[in-house]
Amino acid sequence: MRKRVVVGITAGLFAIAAGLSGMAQDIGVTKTKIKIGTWGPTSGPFQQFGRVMIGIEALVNKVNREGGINGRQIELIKRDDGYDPARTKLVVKELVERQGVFALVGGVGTANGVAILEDVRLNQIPWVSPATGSTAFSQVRDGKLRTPTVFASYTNYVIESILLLRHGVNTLKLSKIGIAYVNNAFGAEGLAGVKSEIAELKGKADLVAQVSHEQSESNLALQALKLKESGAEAVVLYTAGDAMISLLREMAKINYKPQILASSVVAGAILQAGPSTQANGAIVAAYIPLPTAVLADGKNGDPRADAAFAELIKLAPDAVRADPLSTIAGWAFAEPLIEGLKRAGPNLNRPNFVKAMESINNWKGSLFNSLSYSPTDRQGNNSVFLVRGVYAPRPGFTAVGGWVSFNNER
Amino acid sequence: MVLKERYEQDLRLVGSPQGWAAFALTILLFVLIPQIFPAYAYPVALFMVYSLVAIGLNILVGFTGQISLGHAGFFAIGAYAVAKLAPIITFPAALLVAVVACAVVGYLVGIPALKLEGPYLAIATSGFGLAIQQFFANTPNDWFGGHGGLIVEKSQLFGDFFARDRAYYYIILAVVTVMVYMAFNLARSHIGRAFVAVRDAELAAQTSGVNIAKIKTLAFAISAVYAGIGGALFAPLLGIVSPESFSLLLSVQFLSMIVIGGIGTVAGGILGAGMVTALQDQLAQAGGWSGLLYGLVVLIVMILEPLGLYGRWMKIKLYWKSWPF
Amino acid sequence: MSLEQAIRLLIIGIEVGSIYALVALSVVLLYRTSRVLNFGQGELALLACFLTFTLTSRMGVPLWLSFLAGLAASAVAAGAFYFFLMRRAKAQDPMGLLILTLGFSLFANGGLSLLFGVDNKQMPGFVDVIETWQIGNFSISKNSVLVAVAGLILMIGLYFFVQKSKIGLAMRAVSQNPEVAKALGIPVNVVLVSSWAVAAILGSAAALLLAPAISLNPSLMLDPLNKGFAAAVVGGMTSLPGAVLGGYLLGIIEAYVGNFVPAFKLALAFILVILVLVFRPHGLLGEKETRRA
Repeated sequence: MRKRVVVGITAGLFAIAAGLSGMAQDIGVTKTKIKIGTWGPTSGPFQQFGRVMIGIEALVNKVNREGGINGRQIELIKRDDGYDPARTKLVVKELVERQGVFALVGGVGTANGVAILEDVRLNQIPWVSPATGSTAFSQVRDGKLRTPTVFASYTNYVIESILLLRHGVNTLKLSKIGIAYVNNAFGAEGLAGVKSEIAELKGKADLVAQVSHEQSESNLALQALKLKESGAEAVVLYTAGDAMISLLREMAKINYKPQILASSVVAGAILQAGPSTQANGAIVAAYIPLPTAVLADGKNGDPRADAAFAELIKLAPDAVRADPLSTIAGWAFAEPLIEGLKRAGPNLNRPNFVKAMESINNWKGSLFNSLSYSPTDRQGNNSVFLVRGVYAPRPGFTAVGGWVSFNNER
Repeated sequence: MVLKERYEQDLRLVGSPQGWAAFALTILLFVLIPQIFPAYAYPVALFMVYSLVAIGLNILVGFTGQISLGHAGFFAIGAYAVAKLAPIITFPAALLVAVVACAVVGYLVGIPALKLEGPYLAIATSGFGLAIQQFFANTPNDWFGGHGGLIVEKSQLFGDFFARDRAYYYIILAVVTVMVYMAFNLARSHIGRAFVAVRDAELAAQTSGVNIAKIKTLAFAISAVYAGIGGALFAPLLGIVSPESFSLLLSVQFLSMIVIGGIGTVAGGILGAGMVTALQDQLAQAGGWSGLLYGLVVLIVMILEPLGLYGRWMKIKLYWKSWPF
Repeated sequence: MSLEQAIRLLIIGIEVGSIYALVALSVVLLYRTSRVLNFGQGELALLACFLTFTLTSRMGVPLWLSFLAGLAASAVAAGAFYFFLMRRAKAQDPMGLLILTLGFSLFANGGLSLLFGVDNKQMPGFVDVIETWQIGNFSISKNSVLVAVAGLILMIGLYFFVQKSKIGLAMRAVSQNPEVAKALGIPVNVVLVSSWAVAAILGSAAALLLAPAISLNPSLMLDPLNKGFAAAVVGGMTSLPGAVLGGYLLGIIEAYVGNFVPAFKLALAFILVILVLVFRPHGLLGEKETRRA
């Protein structure tokens, strides 16, 4: 009897001790493991967007192979949300409340991300690199960060479109500007950027045409005709990828040859539109340096991008060959997460991790130009890298100058 | 077997002590879910919202035999009414606006729909859904937020307490309970029976004094109100209302709910909504296989069970009632 | 609007309209015999496209041969789907069958995505999609002409098939009254299987003509299928000439409406559909189906 009580008490003490030691760590963190969640569409009409997850997985695999972080392996849990915000919330709730993930990384889509933002705010869930260039994830309200646990790294679309337009107007000396955009939040932000910059440029350039298409539409013959009629010398593209291919081909058919200024999102499709379209010579915004695999001359790619590409191709050869840029983007999105986990040290919990992320300042260790967070700013990256799409000697890109960063001087 | 002697007994919602016990248990279970299984508060809340739409659609499709591929439109009207108006005139008032707006629009859609049937009505209603989606997307940004949509912050509407899904759940539960009760009542009222009469034999119903036009447009209006209330509850639940969400795919999803669950019964709509939400929740883990598996489940249900899940349930129930004979 | 622009819009309308018309024909053909709307039509067409792409671009088979192989595969898949699933499903009401085809569509789309990938593929075509012919100072795309002409040929072929061939006659009989047709000794199952196969061939031909101009991916047929349904309804679900008329009408109206009110292009096209239906509830050339109470 007495023996049993002693055993009981010891067991109880052990339980308490285990509980206490568990408290220093956090949800989703054990001695050997960190659970991280990500999501994107892998079914339905938008499943191409889900390929970002391949890049995230590739980096996580590499980190794990090299021994993990502070002795912990990362367990990446991926979910399919079909690009439907109601389902995004479903899967993220599952990741957070049932799987108990420590942090979120990536996550495709603007409306999709916004749908979980209030939950993230109330439960203070760390979320690194929402895979969308919307401004919604780094908002400041009444001088305070609205969602202090979210760290955005994607150059947002407003900034991207402004930098594209500046290149067209200031460097290429074009003044009649047109824009084609898809009817969704992504297209709307591109349009907003272009409009605000046109106003800033005070008469140096005019917006002569704005045409849009529905997400389901894939034939853009009409839009091409409208742009031609307007006489636009440069056309900014914030369309869906397959729609853009149609638009460029229709332009070629009616012998209309404007300078194309395209968002990073359609970079992959620029190389598929064909050599006799305006994709040949298009200026594209990239936010990560390019691997040799997508360079036109097939040499002198960025070594770090090449290293990432080599990892990726092992994981999913077909998808990566078909779309190297968005898969490498996933890799880049996961890099600040890994850095934050390293900096947070062995005593990993959410507040520590957020502090560690805040300490990332002018950090050049990732594929991004430079990442900086601070206690008052969560938009870590404001740079793009302009490239030109060409078709000789093979379909690929060539560099146009170096990194361009957004600041309000011109 | 319970022998029913009088017509009132047949109409009774709950006929037996066991029935009452089951009813009380169901309510209790739903009340307790956020406490016992907090991680399931959101999926269950979403299921309740969808089941309102499914019940509404079932009133139209199952009771009166009209089809709609445009219910995402009514759902959108309800959602936008709350997203736009609730911060100004409070949530209950906005909910009321959603109800009135959907009733009016539903009635108006119901008038041209009188002349149409089958595929013609399906395509015409899908056009309505599309028109609503494009209306919210393409009107000036300060009206409904354009393509970016409107952000709905529960904390702003109800305070930080109800901003948690676990608490907002109870607001949904209260509204849904009332609406489900009303649906059961509708099904057994003279209007409900008129609906069914119109579906089964339009001519016979007409000669019996049922005003066909009135009944059909009424069905559209009631159905729209259910979808609209669903949308109104959905907006704060999700936190964002954006035009992309209200696509034809959503209307098709609603239709698949009632067919999978069982056409023509209130319970069928609820079961179908539950099945679809559960599939979405569970298949998210299947990666690239999720689309294929979802389709497979729909195929199997439709091949094996003509009356949907509710039909299967009735068969099981009847089997046990008459067991061992 | 200048004359030149009006003509350009017309050409766009006809090119797009031919695709709609082919899809609408497949919808109507199926509806006449089986009283079913098939959501899976798009995936059957995708199967043809992916097969053609793989055979030609990956394995070097001549295009015309893989084109035919694609059409054949989609016809066989459609016939098999009808014979093994549709016919045996217990839910034989129109709504149940509709959702059954939805299930098939989701299943097949998931399967095709897994097998062939989701990226944009460059579908091989018979002509360079960008090349044009110059007529004076007016240029017309070779691909537009190809699509329009091939569409016409297929429609004429279908006309002769339905009006002159034995199986076509049987199809018409079944569409008028399946019970009587059966009683008269027409093998209804054979007729139905072949009408599914022919419908799949029409839809696949539309996809094969469309894909080279844009790009091949699993959502290729979403929009055309939607519009094909709408066109079929405008023309009348029971009328094959109606489907052709509806297709061209929708394509041309879309082009002109899209030119003036681009943001509401899709909605306006559908509102026109609704308007047509208010005045002609069974489409422009459709007949009211007699119903016995």
